[in-house]
Amino acid sequence: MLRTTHSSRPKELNDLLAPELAARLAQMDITSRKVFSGKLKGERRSKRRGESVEFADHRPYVSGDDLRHIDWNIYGRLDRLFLKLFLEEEDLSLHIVVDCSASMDCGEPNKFLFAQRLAAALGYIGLVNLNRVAVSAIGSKQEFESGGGASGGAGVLGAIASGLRTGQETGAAGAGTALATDSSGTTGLVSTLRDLRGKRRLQDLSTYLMGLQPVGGTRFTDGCKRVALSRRGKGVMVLISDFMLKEGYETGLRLLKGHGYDLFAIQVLSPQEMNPTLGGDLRLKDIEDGDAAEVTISAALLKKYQQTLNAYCNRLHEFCAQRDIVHMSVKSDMGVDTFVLDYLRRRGLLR
Amino acid sequence: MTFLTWPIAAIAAAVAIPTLIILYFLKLKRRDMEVSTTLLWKKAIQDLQANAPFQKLRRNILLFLQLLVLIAALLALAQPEFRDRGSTRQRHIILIDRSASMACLDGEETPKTEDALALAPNAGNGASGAGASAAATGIGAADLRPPAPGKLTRLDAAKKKALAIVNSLKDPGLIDLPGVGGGSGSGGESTGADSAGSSAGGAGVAGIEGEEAMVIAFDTSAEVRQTFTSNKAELRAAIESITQSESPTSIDRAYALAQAYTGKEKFEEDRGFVPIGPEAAIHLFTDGRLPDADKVKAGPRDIVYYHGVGSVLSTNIAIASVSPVRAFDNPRKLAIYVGLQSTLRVPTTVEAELSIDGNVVQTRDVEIGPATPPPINPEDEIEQVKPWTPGAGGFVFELDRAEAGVGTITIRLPGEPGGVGGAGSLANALSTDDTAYFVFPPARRLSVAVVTEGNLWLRFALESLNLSKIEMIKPGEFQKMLDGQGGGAGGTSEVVSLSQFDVYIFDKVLPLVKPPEVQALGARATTGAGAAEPTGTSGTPGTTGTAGTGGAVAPGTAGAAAPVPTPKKIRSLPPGRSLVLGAVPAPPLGALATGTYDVATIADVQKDHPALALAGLENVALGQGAKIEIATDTPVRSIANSDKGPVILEVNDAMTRALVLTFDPFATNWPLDSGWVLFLADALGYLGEVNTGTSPGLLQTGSVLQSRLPSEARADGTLASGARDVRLVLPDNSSVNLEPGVDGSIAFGPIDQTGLYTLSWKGVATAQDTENPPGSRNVRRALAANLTDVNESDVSAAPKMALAREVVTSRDDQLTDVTRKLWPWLVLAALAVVLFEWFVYNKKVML
Repeated sequence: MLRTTHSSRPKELNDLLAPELAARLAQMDITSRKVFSGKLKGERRSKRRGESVEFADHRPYVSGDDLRHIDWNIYGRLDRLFLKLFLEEEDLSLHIVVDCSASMDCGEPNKFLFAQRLAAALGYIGLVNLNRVAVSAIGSKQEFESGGGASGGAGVLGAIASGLRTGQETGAAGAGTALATDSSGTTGLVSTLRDLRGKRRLQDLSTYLMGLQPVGGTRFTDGCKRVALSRRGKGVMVLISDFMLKEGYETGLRLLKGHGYDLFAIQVLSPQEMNPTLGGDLRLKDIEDGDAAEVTISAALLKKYQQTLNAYCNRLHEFCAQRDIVHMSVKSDMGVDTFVLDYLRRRGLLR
Repeated sequence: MTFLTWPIAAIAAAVAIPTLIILYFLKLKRRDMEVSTTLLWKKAIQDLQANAPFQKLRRNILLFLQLLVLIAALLALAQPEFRDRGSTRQRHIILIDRSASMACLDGEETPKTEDALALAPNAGNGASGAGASAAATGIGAADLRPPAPGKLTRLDAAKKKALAIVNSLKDPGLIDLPGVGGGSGSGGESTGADSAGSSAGGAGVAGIEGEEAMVIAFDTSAEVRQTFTSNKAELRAAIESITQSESPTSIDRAYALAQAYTGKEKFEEDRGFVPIGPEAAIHLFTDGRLPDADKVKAGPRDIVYYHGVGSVLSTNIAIASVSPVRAFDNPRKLAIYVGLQSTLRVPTTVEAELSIDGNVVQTRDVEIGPATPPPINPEDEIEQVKPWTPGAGGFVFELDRAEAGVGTITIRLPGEPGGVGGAGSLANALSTDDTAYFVFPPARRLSVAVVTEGNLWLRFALESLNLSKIEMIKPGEFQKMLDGQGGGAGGTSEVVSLSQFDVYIFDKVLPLVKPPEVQALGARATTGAGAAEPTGTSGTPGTTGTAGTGGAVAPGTAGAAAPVPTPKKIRSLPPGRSLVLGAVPAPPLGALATGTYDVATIADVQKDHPALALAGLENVALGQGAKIEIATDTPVRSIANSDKGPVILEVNDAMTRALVLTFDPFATNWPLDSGWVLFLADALGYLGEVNTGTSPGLLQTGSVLQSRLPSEARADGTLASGARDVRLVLPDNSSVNLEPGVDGSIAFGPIDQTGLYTLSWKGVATAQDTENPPGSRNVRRALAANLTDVNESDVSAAPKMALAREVVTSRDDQLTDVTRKLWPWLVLAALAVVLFEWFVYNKKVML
């Protein structure tokens, strides 16, 4: 709950993603409760018939069909032309959205560090499985350690992140890596690193994540709107936030859900938020907007606080359930590996 | 409930309480703390903290506790006091009776009116006749047994109660705040109205100054043990220091003493008499046996509280009087008359025991009658105050003993262990009066010279008195004797007294003597030469006096005297013991004759005078006599008066002791009466210090021990005490050194112990003294002191006392009149609440 006094920012990839964990994550894959049509050939089965080696069906030949797909053995037996259909394998779009508001920079262990690590782990799984991975950070203000700050209009894809320190080349698949920042006046800032594919792009992902700074307010609704407008296609979206939002999370989640994404809302709370250890007469100051609340900590107040927190989380959970959003609460003192390997697999995000 | 310093507390409250509440509003001491969001907190505190100021304070137990602490502290600052009951007088006078009856061991009891009523004759039976009902109720009342002896004497109980009063006094406030009234608002008002400020110390400032008390212990005398003070330690010490006395009681002096310290009145214009100083509460700690309680006139503003101790039912047997008497006719025959009294309500037999010089000589059983109830008078409002009349009894021990000695008589109830001081039942509650001490002089017969022209009646009367020697001397011969010895003072250190005879009787004549001061002058002027003889008969050989107790006669040396101014001689008393009949000595050892009367009647007679006790003067009709006038500042007093003036005088000087009948007894009917002979016997015995009547060595406790030691004249003619190193040994064997006056008189006391007092000195002995061994000039004189007081020996405590203006009733509940200081408890309460607040605060924070 309190601002982390000695927060240590991850400096290198190993800080974000331990090699042992990475080795275990390599066995896993992102699942989606839906089968989406991908954009590129991938390792995921698509609704579309394609060119994989896996047989799907036969159908009668009509003129114009590719002669290469005619099953000549059937023709020899039946003297009729049938076309052999194979399953198409496509890639999956994984969009990780990290709340970069100052409220995330709280707790012991730090909630934002947990979010960074979780994002890195999920991104790694996505990259390993040749999914299209995008990472977005939402907040009222973003400063990237890279200082790239490549500006561009909304939905600009072509802005190659040449300023990226790592200077990674764009992927061979032809999909460009884009770092886009979207600032729309007073609304929230969103930066997105998109179109990462393949294990090689892990460095880009980690650099991006390590460059995020949790400062300022959230502007959650605006940020979600930006993310929702900027994404393409369909896929899995993981939103990592504490959902402590004075403006409310409803609109934002509705926007994110609205475009057919399979949405996972992971709520990160610090142990101090769940069980406050405060005492005395306090003036509590909101780290984001400076709003003050004068409280005299008492057993009754703490009890009331916990009741309020539970009600808040329950309401969020219900809201998500009603909209087919998977909501998970996690304490920041839980290990990322435990959470990923155990909880997420159980909740169907990974397999 | 009073608040000593409520204005301070009010001011402090006016400042502190709003400050505390304002501090709560401001809540200055909040720690700033950054949290991820105030979203949940704001929702959580919506119920607990509202923005409206007083809603903010709602259900704030910490503020409540702090207000409690503050209120407790403020109340403590106001110094509240709680007084259960009783007066709020500022001054208290504690009078503690320490008389003999206060030694009864029934201190735990209090005199109860119902006991007195039970003892009182039944009013309903009153019609049947006082005597009969008295007898009937006497038997019934006998069933009311005296209480069992307790552990506390009445004096102990009285001291305890007095200490309780002292403890209940209001202490002065800790903070002096001039001009501010006490808890009672009216007090401050009255002070304010009193612009003259004359009643400073009035009730208005009582709250600040506290209460004062003084302690007076009294028996027959009164002694201020502690003057007014508010220092309780001093008051307690003064009360604790009061010791038991064996004297009778008299409240009169004690009350006069107390009144001297209480407020008086002064006159103010337009207001009349206004009291000065605070009104006083007079606390009387006694058993109510105060014979002169009706003399206690409480001031109009004073309140008398009677704190009774002792039981109404306690009874006592006592020796009411003791009197050793040697018979006229046979001085060896010693009779000891003992009077007894009993307040037991049944006839009682007591064992009496006589000891002489420490040896038991005789014992006998004596019956004493029961006490009788007071007569019934239904109109008497305070009937139960009246005590029963003690039953009386008496007996005589007879001895054949010529020597002087001291004796004790002890009485005790049968079965009562120990006798004196024994722990008997309270049927005989007081042991002090169970033993009587007496001294008796040796058997001695007087030698008497009668200076007369001839008086057969007198001679016959004297011859019946068993005197050792009677001699008739003509006045002229006596004058020669007198003049002869006066000139013989020469080289000796002592003036020759006419010690040949014990007593001289002057029958209608008086010798010519030098006035006392002239005698001294003449003696001084003729030292070594001889006395000047104003009558021209100088050179008369001095009569050789019999060597008496210090008398030595030196022959006068005639003609050798230097011429000195001759003082005029007067007809007056010579040195020595004289009985003058029908003549008036000139002043200063006499009175001035102003005329004569033809007939007179005896008006009053001092019956307690040893010489007049049996004289029967009441029936004497006086014929012609001299009207006299007693000059002041002379050692002359009248002991019998007629309607025309004094008729019998007593002259008591250092060198002279005389009884003077200013009328001629042989011109009256007196010599025909048996009283005449008795008077002669008593008068001669009194003058000659031979005990034929009451013993001169008997004293009563509470009186002043007064005695006269022999004087002697020095060579220069001045008088000096004939006793040196005078020492008085008290009954408790402590001793004091006394310095006799010029005329040999000593005084000590008032004495408060019964028993034998022994005076010892070096020097001249008189007839009543013992010189051991003879001629050693080591002289002892024994005196005996007894509590022979009928009233004091009646130990039944009185539930009511009739004072001059009111009847006070013993009330035990006055003892609960306790001032309780509440501020220490309030401070403790404040501390406790602080602790509780600390606990609550931590509980709130931690849980």
